Amino acid sequence: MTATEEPTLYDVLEVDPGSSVDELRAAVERARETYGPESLAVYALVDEVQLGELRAKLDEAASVLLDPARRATYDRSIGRLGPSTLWTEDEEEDPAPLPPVEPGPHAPETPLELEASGDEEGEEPRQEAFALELDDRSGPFARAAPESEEPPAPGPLLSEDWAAAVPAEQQTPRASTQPEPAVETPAAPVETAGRGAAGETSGVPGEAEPAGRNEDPAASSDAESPSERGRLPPSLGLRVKPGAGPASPAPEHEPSPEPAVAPGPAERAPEPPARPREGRSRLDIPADAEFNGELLRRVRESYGLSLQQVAERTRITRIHLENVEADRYDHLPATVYLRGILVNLARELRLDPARVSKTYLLAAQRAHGRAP
Amino acid sequence: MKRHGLNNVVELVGRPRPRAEEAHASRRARRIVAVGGGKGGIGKSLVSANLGIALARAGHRVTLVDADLGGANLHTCLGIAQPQGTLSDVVTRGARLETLAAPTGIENLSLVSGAMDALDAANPRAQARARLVEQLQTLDADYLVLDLGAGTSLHTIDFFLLADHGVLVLLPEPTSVENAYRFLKAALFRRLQQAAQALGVAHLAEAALGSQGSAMRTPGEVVKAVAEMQPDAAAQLDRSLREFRVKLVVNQVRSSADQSVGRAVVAAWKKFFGLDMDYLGAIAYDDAAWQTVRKRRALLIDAAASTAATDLVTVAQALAALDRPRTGR
Repeated sequence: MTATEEPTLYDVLEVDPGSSVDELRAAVERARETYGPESLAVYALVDEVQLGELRAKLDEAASVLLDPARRATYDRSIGRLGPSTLWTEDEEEDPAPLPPVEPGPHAPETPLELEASGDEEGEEPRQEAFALELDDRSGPFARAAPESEEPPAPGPLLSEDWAAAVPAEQQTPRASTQPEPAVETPAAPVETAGRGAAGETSGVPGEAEPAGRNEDPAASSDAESPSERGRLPPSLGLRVKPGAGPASPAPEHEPSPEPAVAPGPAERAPEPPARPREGRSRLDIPADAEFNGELLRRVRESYGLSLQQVAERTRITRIHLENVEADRYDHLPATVYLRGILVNLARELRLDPARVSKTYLLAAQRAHGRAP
Repeated sequence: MKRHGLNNVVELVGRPRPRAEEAHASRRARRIVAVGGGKGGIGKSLVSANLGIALARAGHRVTLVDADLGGANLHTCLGIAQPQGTLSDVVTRGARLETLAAPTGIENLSLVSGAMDALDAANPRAQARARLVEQLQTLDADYLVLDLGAGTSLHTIDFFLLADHGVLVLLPEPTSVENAYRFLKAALFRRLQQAAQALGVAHLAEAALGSQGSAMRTPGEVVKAVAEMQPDAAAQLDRSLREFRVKLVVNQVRSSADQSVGRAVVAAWKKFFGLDMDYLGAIAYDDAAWQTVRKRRALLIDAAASTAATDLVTVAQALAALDRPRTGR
C-alpha cells in the first residue's frame, strides 16, 4: 500500500509479468467478474470515480497485454524505466490528442489511448471486456478504439444513447425548432459518426446500423426520458459525447473544421453541432500543453459548458471540478481518485485523458514539492 | 488471566496487542470471534450458533455470547430457554461473566445471553462497556463467539474490533453487500482513529483523512501521510491496521455466480483498501436452515447432514485453522 510507484499493467491485473497468454486471459476474465458492472463485490464499495478509473486501467491492461506486439513494446517500456520515455513518446502523439493512436509502436506509452489495438481486432472479444457493459450502464470506461478501419461500425448505438441523454436545456431549443430537418441531415454524417465511435462499440457486433442514429434527434426532441438523461451521460463518456449527441439536431455546423483539440476526421464529423453554443472548442491547444485548472476551465468554457453540466455528465462532484479548475491541490482527493477525475473530465472535454492526468498530476506534485 | 492491564475500550482495541508472542508463551491463546455483517437477517446468529457448535464438537471449550444487546435470540437458535442471567447483569450489577454462562446441552458449549430489557441497556455507558469488554477478554474458554447485532453502532463496532477474528457475514445480494461494506468501513475507520490516538498521532491521521471529499483515503495513504512526520508511529499504525484482517463468510449461496462472490469481495477489498481478508467459505442456501430455525433447533444438531451444515463445519475448520500454530500455513 505504501508503494508510490505507478503500478504496472501486470499489477493492475494482479498477474506475474511472466504470465502466459492464457493466464492473462484468465486474469482478465477474473477481473471482469470482480470489477465489472455485474459484480456484487464492488457494489457500494467505492465511488464511481474510483471504480471508473480502475475499470479504465483494467481495459487498458487487457488491451495492451493481450496483444503480443503491444505487450512486447510495453514490456520494453517498463524495462527501460518509464517516465522519461513516456514523456517523450507522449508528446509525439499529442498533436492529435484524443483520436486514434496508431496501434503500433507508441502503444505502450499512452495506455489510455492504446485501446486502439488495430490489427487482429476481430478475433477477440477481449476488447469488450469492461467497455461493453458500459454502454448501457454507467461507467466512463468505454474504450475509444480508433479502429474505425474495418467495418462500418455500430457506432450509432452510442450516439443514440447519448442523444437521448443530452440534458434537456441543450436539446430542447434546437430540437423543438427544427426536429425534422435535423433528423434527415445527419444521415450523411452518420457514416462518419459511426466510424468515429466505432472503436467504442466495436465489441457489439453490428447491432445498430448507422441509420439508427437518425433516430436520435427525434428521440431527443421528445426529450421525455429524464431518467435516462440522468443516467446515461456519464456512461458514454468519450468522444461520442461531445459530438454525436447534440450534433444531430444541428447539422449546419457539420462542415466546420476542427481546431486543435479535434482528433481525427472520423471523430470530427459528428461533432460540430455538438456543443450548445459553439460546435466545438475554438481553443488552440498546443500538443505539449500542460494542463492546469485554468486551461481545463477554458476548454470547458469554450464548449459553453457550465460546471454543473460537466458535473452531471461526468458524475464528478462539482466541488471536485471547482477545485480542479482552481488548482486547489490541497482540497483534491488522493492521487488515485484525482486521476480518475481527470481522466473522466478530459474525456468529457475531448482532451487526451492520459496527457491531461499526467500533466495535471505532475503540476500538483510539484506544488507539493515532491519529485514527480 | 489479565492480559495487558488495559482497562478501557479505546485502548483495548487501539493498541497493537502483542498477541502472537503471548500466545506462544502459554498454551494456545483464547480466541474471540465476533460475527457481524451490518445487515439484519443475514444469518449472523445462525452462523454464530453453529460455528460455536462445530468448534465445541472439535473439542474446544466454547462460550457463545449473544452480543446483540437489543435483540438477543441466540438461545432460540440453540433451542434452549433464555438463560436467567444476561450481559445486563455484568453491566448493571457487575456480575461475573462465568457465572452467567448457561449450559446448552452440547458438550463444551455454554451460552451467555445478551438480552437486555432495561430501556437503556442496548447502549451501555462507556464505563459499563469497558467492564464488559474486560470480562470478555479474560473469560476462560478456548473460543468466545460473539454474535453481534445489526447496524454499525459504536458498541457493535467495538466488539468487532475487539475480536481476534472479526467474521463478516454477507449474502450475495446488493443490500447485504452494501451494508457489509458500510460496516467494514466504519470499523476500519474506528480502528484507524483509535490506533492513531493510542500512538499519539491522531492529529496527523485526522489531517490525512482531512476534508478530502467523499472518498475515504486508503489506510496506506493515511499511514504514508503520518510517516512524513512520525515514521515510527506510522510503522505501528500500519501494523495495527493490517491486523484488521476480516474473515468472510458468504451465506445463502444459491448459484455458481454466488459462489464467486466471496473471492471477489476479498479481491476488491484488497484492491481498494489494501488490506487482506480471509475467506472462510460459503454456506449454501438450504431449506434445512430455516426449517431448523422454525423448529428452534440448531442446524448442526437437527440437520447435521444438510448441505448448509456441512458448509458450516467447513467454515469452522477454516477458522480454527487460522489459529493453529503456524506450521501448516
